[in-house]
Amino acid sequence: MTVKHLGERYEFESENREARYGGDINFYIQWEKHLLYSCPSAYRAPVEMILRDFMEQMFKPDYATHPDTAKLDIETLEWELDQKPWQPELDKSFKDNGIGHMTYLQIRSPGLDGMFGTGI
Amino acid sequence: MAKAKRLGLKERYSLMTRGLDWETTYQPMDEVFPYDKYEGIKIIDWDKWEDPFRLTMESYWKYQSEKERKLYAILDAFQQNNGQLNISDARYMNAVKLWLQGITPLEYAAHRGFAHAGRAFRGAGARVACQMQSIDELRHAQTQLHAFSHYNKFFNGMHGFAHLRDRAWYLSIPKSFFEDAMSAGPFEFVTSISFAFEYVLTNLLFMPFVSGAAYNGDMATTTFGFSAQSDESRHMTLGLEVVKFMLEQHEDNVPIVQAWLDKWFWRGYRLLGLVGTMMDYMLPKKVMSWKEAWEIYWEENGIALFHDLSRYGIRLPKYHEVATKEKTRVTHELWATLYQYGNALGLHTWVPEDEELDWMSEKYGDLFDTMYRPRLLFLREQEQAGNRYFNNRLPMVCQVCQIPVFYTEPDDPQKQCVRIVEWADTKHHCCSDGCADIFNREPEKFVQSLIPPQQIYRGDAGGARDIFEYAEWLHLKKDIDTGEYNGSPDHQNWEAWQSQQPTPQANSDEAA
Amino acid sequence: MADNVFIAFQNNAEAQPIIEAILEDNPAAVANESPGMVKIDCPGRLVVRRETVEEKMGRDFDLQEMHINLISLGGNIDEDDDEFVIAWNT
Repeated sequence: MTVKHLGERYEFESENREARYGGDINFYIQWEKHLLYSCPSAYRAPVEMILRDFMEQMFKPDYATHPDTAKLDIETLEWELDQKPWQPELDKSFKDNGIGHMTYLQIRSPGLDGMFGTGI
Repeated sequence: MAKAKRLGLKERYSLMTRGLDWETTYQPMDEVFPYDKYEGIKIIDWDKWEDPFRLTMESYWKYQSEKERKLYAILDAFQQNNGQLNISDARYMNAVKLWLQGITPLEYAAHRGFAHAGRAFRGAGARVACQMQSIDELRHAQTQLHAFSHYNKFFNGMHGFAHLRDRAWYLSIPKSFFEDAMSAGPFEFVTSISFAFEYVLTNLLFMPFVSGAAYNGDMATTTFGFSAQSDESRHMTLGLEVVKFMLEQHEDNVPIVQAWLDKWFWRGYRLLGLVGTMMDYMLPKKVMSWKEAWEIYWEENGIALFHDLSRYGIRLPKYHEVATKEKTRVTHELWATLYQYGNALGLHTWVPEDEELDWMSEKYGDLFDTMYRPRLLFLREQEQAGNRYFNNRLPMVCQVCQIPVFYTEPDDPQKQCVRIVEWADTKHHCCSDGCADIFNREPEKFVQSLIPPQQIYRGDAGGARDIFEYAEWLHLKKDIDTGEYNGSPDHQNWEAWQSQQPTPQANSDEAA
Repeated sequence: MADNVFIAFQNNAEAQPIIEAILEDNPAAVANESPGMVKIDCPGRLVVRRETVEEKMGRDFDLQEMHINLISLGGNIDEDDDEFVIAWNT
């Protein structure tokens, strides 16, 4: 489908296009069964950032309130990229791992299923 | 002298609304009215447009002025008698703040929208109806601002509603709703606002919530709320007539109207989650749960309306069953979201008291007891240990409804619901199949959405680098306008007023 | 059974005779009170009759005066000088 419109054309660039990030990307991550954090989190980071550094230096501090975070072993995570199973290399960059602008990552941590047995 | 026979209502209406217009001759009609055909709606006879209330402009002014006299007499009494002290608890004021920040600007937007729609329609009956509604909506915005201005002297967070409306992430939800409608053609606009929003859904706002305001001692909101709703019943009736008019004019209109009903039911439902949360969490004395209100006003009254429309070939709006599945969850999920992003909210959040949790257990049952109650108790423990939980990392936001993506899968309350949509090689995220369908129907429109977290990351929000700088850009003062209720100046003032202490400095804000 | 139509009024002295008239003229109607308002539900069809309201009020009444205390309604409307009808067509 397309927008019904007056005039010749109705074409616009995406408001959030990658070109507006000065070489960085905007991407998202969600930790399954940890709904204390009720939404996937949004990030801006350089494409050259190493995935392990991101997890240790950005992700973990952001999720510090959850009691599972202290026990989180990032080596054993199960990953999805854009909702498809996927295996990253932690010591490579976002770019080399194929994580790009508007990528949606999900992680599952076997054995750490949130609080109260209901994924909180 | 023979007394002239008084005309009947139907004749009076016909005389006062028909034959007032003319066919233009210097310019073709299609040039004078360029907007009322491109959406594809076919109109054979504009005179078939009926206002079932048959309200003429003369009676309109008469009854509206009487409503205003009543309303302002009560508002004067409210202000002179320190009505702000009669509310159930100062936590209640946060519902009022959300109304002022989120709903009052919508009234003003509706005023503009109906003025535009009135100009766009070539039928005189439609133009008269839009004109009345445009004036009504301006009245609503004004009476609300007037009523709230008294509270602004005593409570924080009410100092810059217009500024907030244009900048705040949580207010982009209502703002984008109306801007989507106003940037559509006039027929879609009246379908979205008069029918889907006003007929199908605003009962949930103006009936149980305003009744709740009455129960919580808020004379100001009750009075303008019910006064506005008396106009609303006219708008709702107009909404139904607009839809029937389009459906009766041409069979080709049916699929177009159905697609609009699908879209605007879903957008309206998403928006009303905020109202549900006001009802369940922000009214210290509760009247009705969101779940009960949904059952009465949608499952009973709303569905009855769609049964009535089935004779035109209209079916229930898409995903209505998802909305019904979510009725036990949506307010709890949304409150948890407001609570954690509270550092960038112009109102306070808190963990409800035990009696309120018991009320929620009674209304919401198992799911509340196994998921949401333990989460709330955990948050309370954290707060009491001096560790009040905030999530200061910006959330993913839905490209269509602009709500942070907090919803869970319709059949799994433990699994986050995210839908990825794509247009011209760029990915976007939606909160639901309902919003993904809306995106996919008009992708060129929705790729233009200004999504607040993305705006911040691009440096377009005054250069704010984190949630605290962002709050400053919103003109919100940390822990005065934002954050936890317990211990806030609003809380401390309220306690002092209740214990008859000398009145402390009421409000620390300068004008925004 | 037919779906309910409904009409709701502010719970004040002015609306009281209107509510009484409706309950008298519509035996199947049920009034539900909540703070500040009264919602009247009725299967299929509900009528507000001017004459009955006038009897209750003890004065002339124009049905359009209802607008002042009306909160909401659900159903198709048909109004003339003597009756205000809300009905579903199904």
